[in-house]
Amino acid sequence: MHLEESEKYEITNNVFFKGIEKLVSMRKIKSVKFNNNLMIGALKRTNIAFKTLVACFLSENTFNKASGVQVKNNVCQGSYGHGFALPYVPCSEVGDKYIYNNLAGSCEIGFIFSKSADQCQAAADAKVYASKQCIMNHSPGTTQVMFKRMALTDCYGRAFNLRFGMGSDDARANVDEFYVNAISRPNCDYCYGVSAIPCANQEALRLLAITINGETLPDKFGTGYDVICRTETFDAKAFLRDIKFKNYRETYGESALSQCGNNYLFRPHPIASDMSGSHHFWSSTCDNCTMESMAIFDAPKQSELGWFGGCGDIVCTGKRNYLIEDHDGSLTGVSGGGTFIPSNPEIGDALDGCTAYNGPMNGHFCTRHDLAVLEYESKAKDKDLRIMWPVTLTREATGADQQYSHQTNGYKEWEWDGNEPLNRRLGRFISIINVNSTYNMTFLSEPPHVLKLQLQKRVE
Amino acid sequence: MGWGFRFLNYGYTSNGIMYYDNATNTWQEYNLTKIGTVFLQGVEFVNGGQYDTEKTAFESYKVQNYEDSSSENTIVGSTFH
Repeated sequence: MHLEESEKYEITNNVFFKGIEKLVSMRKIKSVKFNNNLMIGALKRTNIAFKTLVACFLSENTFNKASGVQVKNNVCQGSYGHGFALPYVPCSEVGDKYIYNNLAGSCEIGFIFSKSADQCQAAADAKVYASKQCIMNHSPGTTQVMFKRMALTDCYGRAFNLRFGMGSDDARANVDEFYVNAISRPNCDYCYGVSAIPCANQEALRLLAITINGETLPDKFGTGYDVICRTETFDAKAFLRDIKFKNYRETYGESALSQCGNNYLFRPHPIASDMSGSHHFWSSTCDNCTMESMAIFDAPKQSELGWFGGCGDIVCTGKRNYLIEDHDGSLTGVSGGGTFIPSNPEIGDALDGCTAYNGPMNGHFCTRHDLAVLEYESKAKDKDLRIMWPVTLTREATGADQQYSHQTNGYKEWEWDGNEPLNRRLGRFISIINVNSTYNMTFLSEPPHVLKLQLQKRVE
Repeated sequence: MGWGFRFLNYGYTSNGIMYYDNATNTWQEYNLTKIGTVFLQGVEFVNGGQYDTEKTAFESYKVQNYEDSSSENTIVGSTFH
């Protein structure tokens, strides 16, 4: 079914069974109610070499409450591509529920969201099961994204990612009231494994990355929607409340889950070389999880060394300078909570109260809340014309904390002319620091004539 | 790839005209009345054009601003397979 430049439709209680590419698509519509429909089997084309957008339901235009569009209580079972490809709604309307309670299962990507007209964009009330990635996000023109009330189970690649484009000096993602279960039927002896739902190497959340650009449907879609191909921005953070994770573990004791394992909560975007957002949790839990399964903090890539589009003589340092903070101890079960430091032994080994997790986590957990992220950049005319890094931050020993020095690199080369890098790396830096401390900041060469500094917000 | 029928709900009547504007190389509308209301209940679309999305089984195009503004297009309890 396809509706275009049309209005005043009520499409209710129908069944759409097997179709090529899109079972239902809409473009330039208003006053359309698409409720209580069942869509089964969105198939890909097989007679062409390139990949096309496949979805049970696709809307190419944005909705808001005034448009009179409803997409409610629909089910998509089975899609080679997306279940629901929908626009974000304005954050101010996230409680209005005109896109509400839709369910996708057995899809490559359960829900994918595209740009709305608002700088604060939201999505809510989605349910996904048994899909490779349950929720996919990446929208341009955004300074804030907001996600509420979602249930995601058996997401056998990734449950959801936090990703958008444009950003600001105060850019954020808000996530509230999520239920994310790695394995929803642990006692089912035929549900999981190679011939059923994959149940190994899952990640619950790909950490927030914000770049200056973004992607929009239908030009970009599928797993490539989350690509990073432009520079990251100055600030990125996420505030998450009432998130209930379940069954993320490295190993399982249940006999039905012998093929399952290595399922982790958090992992940074692999291409986020310069900055990953910090994440702050309140009133969140992880039931039947282990401390070791909380994260994989990938180390900086050695392949990013070098001067041909890389980070120079030292690795890019974005993957060593973000935080995941359990503000109230509910997520980790550690009384008083604490803060994860990724892949940064110089700081983690030096500070009191930090425990190293040298396995796949590759990080430290510190029972303290005095860590923060310092964001600073050159605002001088030569901000992208000369190299002044690495920046060395040295903190003197105080109390039980030892002295340490920590190097931060400038941003990677993102400006190219065809295959040639333009050597226009930004003098922009992201460093973990310990607040209420004195640091000696040393630039490799003459410091920027104009330097902007800000502490990343830890609370709203 | 595939075959089938297409149910096209097209919203224009012949009360006005569409004409091609050579200056802008676009189709323009003049005094068009737009109707095209449908009510489909329990209709079974079998082997419709959904096997080729260029010929979807049901398509609505420019159904808007119809004369009886209280009318509503309804598709309920139907199957497309």
